[in-house]
Amino acid sequence: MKKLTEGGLYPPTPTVFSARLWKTLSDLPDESRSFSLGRVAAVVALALVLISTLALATNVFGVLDFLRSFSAAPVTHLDSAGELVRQDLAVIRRKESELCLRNVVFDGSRLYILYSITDLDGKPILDREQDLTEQLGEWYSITPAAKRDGFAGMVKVAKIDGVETPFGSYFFPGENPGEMLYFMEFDMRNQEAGAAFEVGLAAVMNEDGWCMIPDEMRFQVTSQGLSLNRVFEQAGEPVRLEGCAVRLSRMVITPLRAYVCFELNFDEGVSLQSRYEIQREWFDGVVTDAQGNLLAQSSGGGFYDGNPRDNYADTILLKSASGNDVLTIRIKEVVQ
Amino acid sequence: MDKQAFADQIIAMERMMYCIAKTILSADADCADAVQEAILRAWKHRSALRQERYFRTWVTRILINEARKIAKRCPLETLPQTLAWEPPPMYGALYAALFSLDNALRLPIMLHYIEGFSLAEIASMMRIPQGTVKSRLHKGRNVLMTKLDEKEADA
Repeated sequence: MKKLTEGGLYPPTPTVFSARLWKTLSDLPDESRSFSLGRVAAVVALALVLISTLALATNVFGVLDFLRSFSAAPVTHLDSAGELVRQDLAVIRRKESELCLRNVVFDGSRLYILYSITDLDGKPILDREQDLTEQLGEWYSITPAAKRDGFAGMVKVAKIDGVETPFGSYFFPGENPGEMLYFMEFDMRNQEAGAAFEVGLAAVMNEDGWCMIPDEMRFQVTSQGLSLNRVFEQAGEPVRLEGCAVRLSRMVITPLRAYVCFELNFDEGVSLQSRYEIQREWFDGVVTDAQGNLLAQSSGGGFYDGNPRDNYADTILLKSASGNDVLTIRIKEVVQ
Repeated sequence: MDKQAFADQIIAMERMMYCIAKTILSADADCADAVQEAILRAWKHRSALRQERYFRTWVTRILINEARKIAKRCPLETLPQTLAWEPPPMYGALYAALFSLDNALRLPIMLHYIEGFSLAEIASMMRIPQGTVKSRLHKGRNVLMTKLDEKEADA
């Protein structure tokens, strides 16, 4: 049988399908942090210094330390951020490796997890004198301990309330010989999880190569600390633009981050292509205060985030991606 | 890979993604769900793709996984037996025969003969051994030929 060519063989896609595809592409989130190996190598030297310093001071390198030291832009948290941190949830030993679930932090919008896996042989995983990029590239998939039926190199699968959930991950050498630290970040803004939910992490492979979630790696995340959050909404009507209206959907200030979300409501008859272009212009800009000081940057899909402040005035500005237009939006705090 | 390059590649695959989803799922809304999940997953984990030339294979594999997850929630009898689309006359009989194939045979046939993926690529996408792909292609070809012969004899 000869190979068929594409011409004429594919049916046209239904409107519902095309519309969803365009919307999905329009709403793709930007990632303010890249989790690629190259990025790891670029910051890993800094991290080694930081971890050594912090280890002396606190003996534990946690999620907040990670966020402050690994982010591209300077990150600051409110003083109350420490109240969100749950520490030392589990230590599991398997064969000659040990997994320690160090920190879990949930602020209502993002869930962060930091854990370590240590090869109990105590041999250094990386030679700090050699090229780190190359070493991490070779080491990426599995620890030496895992080769002996221990832990897989990192958590492969995460489930929230039983549903497999994607996450960003990042890893770097820990304070101790044979120890690797792993950072996980979940965007929970579109999750349907309630105020409390179960997280399960699969980090162990069985004999058939399937990742398993041991009981110790299932834990509950609660709404502890969410009362510290402040919520703002738009005061007044949405701002009209040609073909659509822009509305501040919500602005949530947590001890960790400021999350700002805008919605675009398109007029009838606006084409998909126009919608895509309008979204690109207004979903990829920046949010500032009335004086032009940065409040939040785009993370895609109408979401913006930035460092939290203790005080906000009653006006914010949404600047378009091209920088040609600015919308003035009045806000008011919602009493919780 | 930046967002624009990613979107361009996905848009170029639109019809192919629909067809592949449609070989596994019945409802167009389910196909849209599967493709949306596949795009988001691919975007989220794009750093795991070491060589961009494998983008199409990689995304297709993710799409098949997502479509299968959705299919697991559907009873078997709802699997698609036809497309709501009138193919060009020269391919009408072929499509009718193709969509009468068992799903296990239909997908490898489409991926190989319509999309041009190699046996190794299909094995990787469907997470089955290469030998199984080969035998399914062989069996699928035979069934297709029989059905097409019967159709011709009827005509």
